[in-house]
Amino acid sequence: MTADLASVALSDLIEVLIDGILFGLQLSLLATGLVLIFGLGGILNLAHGEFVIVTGVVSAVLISAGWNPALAILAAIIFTAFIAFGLDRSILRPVYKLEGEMEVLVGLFVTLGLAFTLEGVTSYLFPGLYFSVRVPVETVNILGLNFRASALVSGLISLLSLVFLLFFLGKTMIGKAIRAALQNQTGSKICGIDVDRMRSLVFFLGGLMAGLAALARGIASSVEPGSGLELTSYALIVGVVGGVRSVYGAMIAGILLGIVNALAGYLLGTYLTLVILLAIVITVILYRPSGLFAGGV
Amino acid sequence: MDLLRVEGLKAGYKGLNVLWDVGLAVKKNSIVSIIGSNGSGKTTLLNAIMGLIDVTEGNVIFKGMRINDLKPQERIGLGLSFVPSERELFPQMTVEDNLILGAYTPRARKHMKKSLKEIYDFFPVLGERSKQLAGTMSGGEQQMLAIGRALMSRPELLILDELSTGLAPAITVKIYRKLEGLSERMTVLLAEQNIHQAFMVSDYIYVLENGRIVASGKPDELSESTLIKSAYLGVKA
Repeated sequence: MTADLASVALSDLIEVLIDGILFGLQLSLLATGLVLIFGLGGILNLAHGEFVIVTGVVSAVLISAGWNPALAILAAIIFTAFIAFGLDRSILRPVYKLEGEMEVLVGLFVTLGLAFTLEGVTSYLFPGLYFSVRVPVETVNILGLNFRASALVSGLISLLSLVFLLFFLGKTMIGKAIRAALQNQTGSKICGIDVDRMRSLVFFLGGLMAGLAALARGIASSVEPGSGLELTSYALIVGVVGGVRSVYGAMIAGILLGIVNALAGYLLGTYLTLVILLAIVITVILYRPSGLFAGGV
Repeated sequence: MDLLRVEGLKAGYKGLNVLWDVGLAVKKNSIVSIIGSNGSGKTTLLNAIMGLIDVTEGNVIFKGMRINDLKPQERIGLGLSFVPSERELFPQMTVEDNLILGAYTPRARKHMKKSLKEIYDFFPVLGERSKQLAGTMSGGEQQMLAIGRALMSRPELLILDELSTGLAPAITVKIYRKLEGLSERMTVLLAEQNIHQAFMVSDYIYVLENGRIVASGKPDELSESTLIKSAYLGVKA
C-alpha cells in the first residue's frame, strides 16, 4: 500500500515513524552482534541471520513438545549463544590463522557455507514451522494514536537488550576488555587480556543478541526457516552504514534505517524498501567508507 | 638473583631471523638499558621477551621460570609489564578506562583503586584529564598514559621501548626523572636510541647491533669504550 504524500495525515506519519523506530531497534539488535564479531574476529559472519532462525526453530520445537513458552524461548536463546560460541571454537579456528584478505575471504565462504547448511537443515527438518509469540492485546492507544501492541512489546525487548549490551560493554570490566580488544589487540594483550577468549565471548554475545532479535521478531511478526539470509542482509546494511566496527554506530544506524524502511514502505511501496536501503549503503560506502558513526566502539 | 635472564635467543618475523644468540641479565631493582641504532633489533628483543613474537631458539627466564611458552597475558600476570614504542593505547576510551584496563589481571585488580590514585599522584595530568579520550591527548600525555597503564599492573619488571621517540626533549627529561624514582620499587628494562638519556639513568647497558649483543657494561665503563665513543657519542677514536 502506498500513500500520496499530499494526503498523508500527520498522525499516520507519526505512527509510521514509531513503527520504523521499533523495527529499527530489531535491526540494531541484529547488527550489533554482526559488528562485534567482525570487529574482533575479523570475520563477516554471513550465517548471523541463521542464528535468529535457530532460536526461532528451537523455541517452536520446544513449545510444541510441551515446554513452558518462556522457558523454551530462554533455552533457545542460550542454545543459540552456545552455537555461536561453538562456531568460534571449531570451524573458524583455522581461519584465524590466515592473514589479511585471505582471512576475510575464507571466513566469508565458511560462514556462507554454514548459512546454507543451517538453512537447508532447518527447512528440510521443519517445513512449514514458524515461531510467533502472540501478545494478548491487539492495539494500544497512546495520545490518540493507535499502535500494534506486539510492535511495542517487541521494541521494548529490543531496547532493553540494547541497554543491557551498552551497560555490559561500558560499565563492566569484561565489557571494557571487549571494547579494548576491538580497538587494539596488541594493547589488550599487554594489559593481560586474553584476546582469543574475548573473541569467543563476543561470538557468545552475538548469538545472544541474535536470539533476542528472534524473540523481538517473533513478537512483532514471525520467524521461519528460509529467511536467514534476508536477515543477514539487513544486518550487513546496518553494520556498514553505522561503521562496521562500531557497536554504537550499528545501534543508531539500525534505528535510522528502520525509519527509512518504514517511510519508504508507506510512501513508495514495500517492494522498494530493500532497494532504497541498498542505495543508502552504496552511497555510504562511496562517500564515507568507514560508516556514518565509525569511531565509537 | 637475576629477575630476568635471556639466553641464546633467536627470534624474528615470518621466517626472517632478526636476533642471533642474544643473552642478557637484569638484576632486581636496577635499571638496565639496551641501546642500538634504528633497526638493530631492540624492539624485536622486547617483543620476544613479552611473547608478542615467537622465539625460535633460546630461553626467556623470569623469576627463575622459563616463560617461552607463556602467552603475553600470562607473562603480564607473572609481573612483567610493557610500554611499546607505539604505545598501543585504546584511543576511543577515556584515560581512566585505559588505566583501569592496565589492572586487568586478578593480581592487579585487587589493588586497582590504590594503583589509580598512585598513578594520578605520579602523573597529575592524567588525573586532570581522566574523562578525556586517550586518542585526543598530546604525544607526551599519551606516553605518560602508556607508562601509567603499565604501572597499573603493579609490575616487578617494567619494560619500556623507545621512551623518547616523538617526544619534545623537555617532556623526555621529565618522564626520565619520574622513571629514576621507580627503580626503588621495581626493576626497569629500557630500549633506547637516545644514548645520553640511557647513560644517565641506567645501572647497566647492553649494546645491540645487527641483532647481536656487541658490548655491555656499566655506563662509566662503556663510556670509555672505543666502540661506544665512535659509534654513539660522536667522539673520534
